[in-house]
Amino acid sequence: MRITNNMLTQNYLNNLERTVERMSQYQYQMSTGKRIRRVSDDPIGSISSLSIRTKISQLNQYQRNIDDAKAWLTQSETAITVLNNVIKNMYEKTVQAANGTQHTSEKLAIATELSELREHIVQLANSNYGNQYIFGGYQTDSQPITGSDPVLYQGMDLTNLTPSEAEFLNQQTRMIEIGPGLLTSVSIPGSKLLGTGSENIIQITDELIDILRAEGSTDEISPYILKLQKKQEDTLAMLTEIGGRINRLDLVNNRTDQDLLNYESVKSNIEDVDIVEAIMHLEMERAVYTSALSIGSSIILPSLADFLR
Amino acid sequence: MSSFFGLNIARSALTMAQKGLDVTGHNIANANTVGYSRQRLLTSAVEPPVLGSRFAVTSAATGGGVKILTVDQIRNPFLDAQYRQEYNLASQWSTRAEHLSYIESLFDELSDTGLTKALSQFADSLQELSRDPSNMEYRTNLLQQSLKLVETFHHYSKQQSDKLSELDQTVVTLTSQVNDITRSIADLNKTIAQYELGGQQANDLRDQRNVLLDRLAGLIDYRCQEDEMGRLKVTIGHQTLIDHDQVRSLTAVADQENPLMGATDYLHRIVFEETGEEPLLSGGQIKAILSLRDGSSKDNIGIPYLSAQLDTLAASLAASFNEIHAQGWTLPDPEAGLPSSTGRLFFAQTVDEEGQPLPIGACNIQIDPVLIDRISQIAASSLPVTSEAMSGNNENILQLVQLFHRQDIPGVGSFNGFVQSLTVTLGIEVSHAKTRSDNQAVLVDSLEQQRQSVSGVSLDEEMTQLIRMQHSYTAAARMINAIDECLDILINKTGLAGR
Repeated sequence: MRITNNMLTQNYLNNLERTVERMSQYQYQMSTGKRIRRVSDDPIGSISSLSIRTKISQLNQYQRNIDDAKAWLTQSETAITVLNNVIKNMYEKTVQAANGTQHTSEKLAIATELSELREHIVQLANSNYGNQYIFGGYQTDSQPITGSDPVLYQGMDLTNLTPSEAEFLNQQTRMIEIGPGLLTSVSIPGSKLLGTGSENIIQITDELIDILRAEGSTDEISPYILKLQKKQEDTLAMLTEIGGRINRLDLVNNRTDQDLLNYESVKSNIEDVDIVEAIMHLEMERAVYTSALSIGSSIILPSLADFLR
Repeated sequence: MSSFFGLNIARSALTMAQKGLDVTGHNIANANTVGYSRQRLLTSAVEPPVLGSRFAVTSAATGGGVKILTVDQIRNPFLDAQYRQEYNLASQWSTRAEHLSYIESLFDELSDTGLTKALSQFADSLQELSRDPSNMEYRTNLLQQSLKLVETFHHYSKQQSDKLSELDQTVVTLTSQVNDITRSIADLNKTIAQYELGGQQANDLRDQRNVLLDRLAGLIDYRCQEDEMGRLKVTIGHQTLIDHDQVRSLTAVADQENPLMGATDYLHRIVFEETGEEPLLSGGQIKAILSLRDGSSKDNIGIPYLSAQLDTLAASLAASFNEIHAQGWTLPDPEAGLPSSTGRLFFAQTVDEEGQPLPIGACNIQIDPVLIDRISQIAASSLPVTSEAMSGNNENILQLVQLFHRQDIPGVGSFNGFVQSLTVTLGIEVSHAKTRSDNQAVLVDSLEQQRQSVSGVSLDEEMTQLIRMQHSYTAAARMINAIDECLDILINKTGLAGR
């Protein structure tokens, strides 16, 4: 095939251009650490990359949510533990009062103590985490327990509820999303904490105080021992439930952490460049480039004119 | 036979050598001229003058030297046709790749500034609000993220719209380029015909015309034919563009509706100026620009398609979000005198004069101004919020959060999935265009190489030719010397016996 000078130079330029383009691509990879600059560099890899980025962002948010949920539950756990101790205290005092050998003055002293414990229970029911009241059901901005006689929860008298009202109050728990479509309850509503109708601890305590102040007999006092015992069992049951929820959160948290690690690693595999490999490629292209330059110049320079007299 | 016959032969040799040197010189001078085809002297031997004499010639007849037939151009028209075909495709794909690549950089989803990120941050801010629905800071954060999302939509939309205008302007520019080239070709046609009337070949003019035909091939897909009379005809489909020295020029009329939402201007349509018919444009740069400007389906991706997809996303987001938000209850706002209410929209829904809702798209999606003014109007609760109870009710927010997990949202499936799918579709399209463009470039290079191989000037060859002509000239001069000496003897020294 007949070759002209122009063909030689044009070929030379074309091939140089291609080599330089490849070199520039590797240089970009090395200076940014990224293998793909645009989706078109690797459309198939980008499909995974894009969806993983979204997942990672979601998982980070879930971690924040889980931390929040744990804090709520832990705070509830602490308050209910104290509540349990308070009720245990009440129980012991009641047993003492039911003992037939108690004098009137001692019964009055117990009544006063019970009154203080009652105030403590009200305070516990108004516990908060940050600026939200954790036992308020959906009333988290202001104290759920108000008033003193009768004590009101969300403005309603817990001892005087219709069944549908009671159900309405008991359903109000704070839900938080800890995984895709995975909601968990992080609070106990005050109506459940204190009990409704005749099971209401405040009501029980108030009745007991009245009896003691009226120098009630053992027969009048002893039914309350059983009631307080039942209250203790209820409280322990709540504690167990919360403990279980906290454990579950820990499991979900661990899994979320693990998922995050995995996704980050997959993302890195797709998007990041292996520096060693990139350096190698760059050096190879550089070698090709310099040799092309030197050989090219030795071919295109001379012509017949140099050799004629 | 004339005594000076020999001189004639030598003289013809000298003339031929001189002419040969001239042609070689012309080739060397034009070695780097774009589109130049090397020229060669076509000569033939002069027959002995046997015919035309009345008597039979008995002595051995010799030829009369060399005659110059013409200066010929070495060019392969078949290669030219092939080259133009491939160059047409190469221009088309490289134009498409270049512009699509630019559009891809607008959809920068692999960075932290794209739509994916904005959606993701918007979803996160909803999650944050679910943890404390009456918290004013979280509400403000949600509002900020939603404003940012809306602004991202606007930005994308504007970029598309600007690019469309740019493409439209390019159509007008290219049309006038075509007209310039066709006019020049027609003028050359006329000049070549006049020149070649005398029997000579208009080599350099033809080269110029070939260069113009190459350029035209980059712009449009045409057929060209030269008839026996030397008249060149250029056609697009069955419509004539150039007929010898007559040109049917094209013009761009602005009467095509702009398909983008909210656009009021018109796009340009290319038509023949005198008849108004549309030419069949099927390749080249113009076709690439037109299909990018007008492409509105998945098989024919252009700006209208991409814009429509963004509009679908915006509309679905607004509709599905509003549906759930309107079911929730806002916080009471004593400062503004607003009680807790339901039916509040999050994204603004405008209506036209008849009260019909106007479509929402990426260019006009907005947050309802009441919400921007009072963040209490974000409806987090599923039940009316009185001044104290229910302010911690986050059920409506949780419903809104679920929107970002659902795969069944009308129009888009899932929000994130839709954006990803659109981005990848565009990426694949760009990658495809780049590959085709690279492949075509290789083909075009290879054909150009072949053209150069046939028609290119090789300086080494011309040097050799130079030497040949030089020797030829020297030898012819020697011959003249020899004949001169012979004649000298004959004229001056014969018949002077005894002088």
